[in-house]
Amino acid sequence: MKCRNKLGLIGLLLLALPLAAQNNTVVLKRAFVEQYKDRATIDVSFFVDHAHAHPNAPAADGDMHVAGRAQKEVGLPMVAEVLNAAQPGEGAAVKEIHAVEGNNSQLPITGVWRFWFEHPAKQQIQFANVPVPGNTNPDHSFEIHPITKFDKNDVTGAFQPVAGFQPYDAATAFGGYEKLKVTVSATDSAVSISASKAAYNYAEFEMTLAGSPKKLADGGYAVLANVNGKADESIASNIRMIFVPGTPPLQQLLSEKLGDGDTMHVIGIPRINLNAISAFVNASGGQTLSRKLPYEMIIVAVVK
Amino acid sequence: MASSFPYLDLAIGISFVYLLMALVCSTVNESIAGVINSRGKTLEKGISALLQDPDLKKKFYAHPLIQGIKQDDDGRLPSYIASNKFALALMDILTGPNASASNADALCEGVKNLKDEAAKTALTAVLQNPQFKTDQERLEAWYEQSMNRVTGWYKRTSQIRIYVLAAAVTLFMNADSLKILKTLWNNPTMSAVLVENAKERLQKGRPDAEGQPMVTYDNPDDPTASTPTAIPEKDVITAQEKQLLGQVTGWQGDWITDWPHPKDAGFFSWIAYLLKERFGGWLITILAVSLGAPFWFDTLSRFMNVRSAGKPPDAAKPPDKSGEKAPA
Repeated sequence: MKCRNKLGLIGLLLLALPLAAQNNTVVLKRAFVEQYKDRATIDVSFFVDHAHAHPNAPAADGDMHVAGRAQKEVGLPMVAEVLNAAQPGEGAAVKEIHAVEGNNSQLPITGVWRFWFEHPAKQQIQFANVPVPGNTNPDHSFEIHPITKFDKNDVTGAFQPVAGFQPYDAATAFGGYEKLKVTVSATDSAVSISASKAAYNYAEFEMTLAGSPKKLADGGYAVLANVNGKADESIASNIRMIFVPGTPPLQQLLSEKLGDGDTMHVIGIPRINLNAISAFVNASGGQTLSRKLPYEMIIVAVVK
Repeated sequence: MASSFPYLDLAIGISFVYLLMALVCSTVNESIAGVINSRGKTLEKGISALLQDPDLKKKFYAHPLIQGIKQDDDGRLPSYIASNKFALALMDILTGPNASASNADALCEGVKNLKDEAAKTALTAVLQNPQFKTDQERLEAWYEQSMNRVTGWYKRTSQIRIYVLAAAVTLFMNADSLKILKTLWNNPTMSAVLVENAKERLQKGRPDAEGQPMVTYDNPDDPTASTPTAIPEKDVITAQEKQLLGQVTGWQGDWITDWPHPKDAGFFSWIAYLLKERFGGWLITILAVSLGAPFWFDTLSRFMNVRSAGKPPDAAKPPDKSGEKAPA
């Protein structure tokens, strides 16, 4: 029996290899996955190594990119981004970013943790030595995007549509997300996530909530929703929508007491759903298996 | 009670049998691939074609970076080598012991010193590729392109093994499609049992679950409670499914000792009988099983959807005329 199981496992491992050969891999500590799987945000002490001189133009997305390190809490090459950074309200944060850039001093920041293979490296292992990035956009699978607080500057007001920026439409973006595949495997202490490069950073869509919002450990909320197409058909169903603490979208969700059957027109950015990864690897006993990439949407703006 | 969908139940029954047989074949195939290290050998063939120089290939497999992977693979040929490891090992070999692996001049010199002209020409062309910034990136891209070809080779070899296995399993079980159809047609109870078991099998998810979600969220009010789905089971097919397969296939009545034969008929007459009576049915089974478990899972799902959507004619309600307008 043991031999048969071993052979079966070898078979599954071999099946996963051609996929892994074309993929980008990030190896995470399972304790990290468990800690953040049901949180919207992460708090870190952050070294600002490089920052864009100016926020991206509104037509490009309006973000302010910062490359840096949070060795203790994240332990991966990473960037952090201020949403809507050209807005006057975000000016103080942008100014402080430039003031500390390259100073090798740590500042506390809070923001939405985000794994997404948009600018991935072939392989990155969490809590291995993280090199000082050479530019504002090193190869990375981890981001703090969007930042909600940079040092003492609250930037949650940035969670609104960027004037002049057109996100991807729902059919294009979700059509892309729904096709993504992932290969996972796990040991007692680590989980390996391999996927091909992903795209469609910002998506504008209408969603119909499929249940009640549930409060997360950090004060954020998660709610299941179906994404509607142009003809009101569902183009993605039971997707976790993550509302970030202190942001206008969450305030609207709570103040209007939205729940099952209510609709919202929002802008979101995708991230890997660690809740699903955790449940799956716990049940699969560490086998190397390929599945549809589990993703969830971070709601960054409500479209009026 | 006779089924309202006799033809559909027949189609479901035979698809279910093919699905179970294909599951057995694919599991055996993967086990064989693991035992004979088929992937490792295919990869080695691909590396040989890439490097062309046998001496260079020997040094490559002896490099500590590759030896490390070999140890992970129980000392056998590595079944997968990451592109960065390929590039780093090759650069280290070509630059020699006295220069850093990233030394571009030493790398060019190393390529020039290769004895094999074909390898020298290929590597020179690769290292001149202007699409990439570094030599490591150039070698990685070269390797990745060739790996697509290697994957194709592996798939072809695997498909041939599947045909052979499908034939072996078909003969071993005497799974004659025509005989199975006849059994199911004459035994509606057996057909109904197969339909019920097919429903259970469908609930276990597509055998090739690559495109399936990892979890479902069953409670719409709790987006933190996810239920894992499509986790592969330890046993390929259940004991009940094995028993069902045994009931619709097998050598009873066809074996040399109990086939319907005249007294003086010998071994060759038996073979002739089998070829005449069973060969066509076996061939259909072999071709069907070699289409693979995912194909039969999808087919079974479609048949089952049609069955669920349709209503038995005898159970259909008379049309509700209450809303109809009275004739003017």
